[in-house]
Amino acid sequence: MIHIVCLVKQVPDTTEIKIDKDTNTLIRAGVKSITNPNDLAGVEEALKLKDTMGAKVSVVTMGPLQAEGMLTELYARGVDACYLLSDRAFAGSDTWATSKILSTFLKTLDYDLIIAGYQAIDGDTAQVGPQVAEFLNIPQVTYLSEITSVTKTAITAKKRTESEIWTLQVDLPCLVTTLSDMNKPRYMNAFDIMHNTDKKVEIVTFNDLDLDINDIGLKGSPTKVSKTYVKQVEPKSAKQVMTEEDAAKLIAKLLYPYMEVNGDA
Amino acid sequence: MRNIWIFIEQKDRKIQPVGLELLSETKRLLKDDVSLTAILLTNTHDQKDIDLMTYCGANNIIIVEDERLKDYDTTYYSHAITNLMRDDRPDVFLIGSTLEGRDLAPRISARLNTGLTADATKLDFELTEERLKLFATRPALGGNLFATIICENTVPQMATIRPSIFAIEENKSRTSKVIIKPFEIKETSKVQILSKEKLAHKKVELNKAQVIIAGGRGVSNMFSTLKDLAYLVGGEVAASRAVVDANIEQKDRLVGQTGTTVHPKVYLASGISGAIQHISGMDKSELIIAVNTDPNALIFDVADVSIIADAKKVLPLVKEELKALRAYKTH
Repeated sequence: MIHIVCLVKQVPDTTEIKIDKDTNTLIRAGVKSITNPNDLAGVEEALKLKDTMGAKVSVVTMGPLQAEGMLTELYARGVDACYLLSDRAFAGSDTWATSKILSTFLKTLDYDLIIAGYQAIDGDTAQVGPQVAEFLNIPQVTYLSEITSVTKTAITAKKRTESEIWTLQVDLPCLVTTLSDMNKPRYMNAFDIMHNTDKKVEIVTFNDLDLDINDIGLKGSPTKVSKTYVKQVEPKSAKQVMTEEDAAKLIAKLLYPYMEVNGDA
Repeated sequence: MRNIWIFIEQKDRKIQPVGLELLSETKRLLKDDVSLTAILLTNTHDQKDIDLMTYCGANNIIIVEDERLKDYDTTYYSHAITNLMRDDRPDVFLIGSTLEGRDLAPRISARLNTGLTADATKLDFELTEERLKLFATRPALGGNLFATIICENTVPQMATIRPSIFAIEENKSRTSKVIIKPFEIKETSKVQILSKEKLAHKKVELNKAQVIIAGGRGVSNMFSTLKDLAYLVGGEVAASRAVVDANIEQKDRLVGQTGTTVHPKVYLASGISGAIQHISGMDKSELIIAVNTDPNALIFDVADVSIIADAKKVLPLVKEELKALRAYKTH
């Protein structure tokens, strides 16, 4: 039976974040936390494989202790083991440091397939999956639209590019990243809720891992945020009298990002 | 001299615009004060490829040529690049934020233990005697916030940059030095392409269009130009009540209270006066550009860009401008 490990992140529901127009700051209070949608699709994909061919499904997350609630819900969907990497020393980690922590823990597990969401809605970086794969020295396939088959030694999967769908065969162990529209996550079911009440989330701290303190947290992160600012609401512009040529140049510049490369007009 | 390397993505032997956009932008920002190196991984190249990179500002062009580099492969591509950086790392390494770039860049940053900013939309540089510092600005938290990211202690300072943000600028008097390198790697990729199929092109509906080119009474005899424009930007043509009532366009093109409500990324209103019934169907658009000869046209009340000019004369010129810009994209 293969062991599938899903990487999951708890994120603020960014669609609910609003801007305080008086202070130009984000209103975070009252914004609920959700399981990152792309990650949830990864868990569902793993559970489908468990249903069809039998597999052990584990979930790993890094974050504050409040993420335990999210993991308990994943137990109720049928996950077999949940790990929460949580320590003050992890706080402020950028993607490099986060991937360092996750991969250090993953090395202690006996995994065949790692499934991560393509990107998290609070960061949109899509970097942690490939960086974890690099630290583990395993192959990766990002932006998966479908896992078509899994054997003991390889998977076949479909990946989207901007204009094509590629069918790929990848040797195990490997890491893939998934998209939220590839499936519809199941609900928690009564059977799994009943049978998983005794399952505990295993908390993993800095002391449990073979990590250098200088590699993690704010201090270990190669990138730093130098400043942040809230998107300015552009004032409706003044009317401009323009020559036809200048008007055309301005409009073309605004339309340019949407231009398609195919066809003739 | 400080140096910047820029990854030039190619698909089916065609150089993708984003690499040329990044060359053009860094050249614009830093002039001749730094050395720009274009990195092209491919199975074969021709003089046209070299000219493109040179004209857009590359001082050096490194081409790694090997049959295994024909299609993108994470293992082969990442090693081809980190091999080049074994002896000498650039100060900055920029990659287009395409699906390929976002697969490749994090792999390289992890291997080189350096910082990477994802999907930046703005670049700034600070050049001093000691160093070249990159400030990469990106949207965060679903676009609610912008963050400027720096990478102070490691090189290369890496960033992926969103395509189509910067304009391509060619200068045919530029020259460059070209180095062609073989690809050396011991390992075999564990990923194998079994097949490829083209994605079917779906018909866009008015309320799903990203860009809408709308016309009113002022341009009622210009709808073929509007259609050409919409085609160029992958958008749809829409019309005001007056145009539909005159049987120039079908009702399914009507925007407004009695037609379709739309909220595209860009709404170009040409020759539309902006009756309430029309405005109520399009005022939620992200960017509204209005062109009208009448300075008192109501459309200007909701427009983000208000241009007083004759749309009949402007539209054909926009088409020419876009076609000139498109020439770059189809290289």
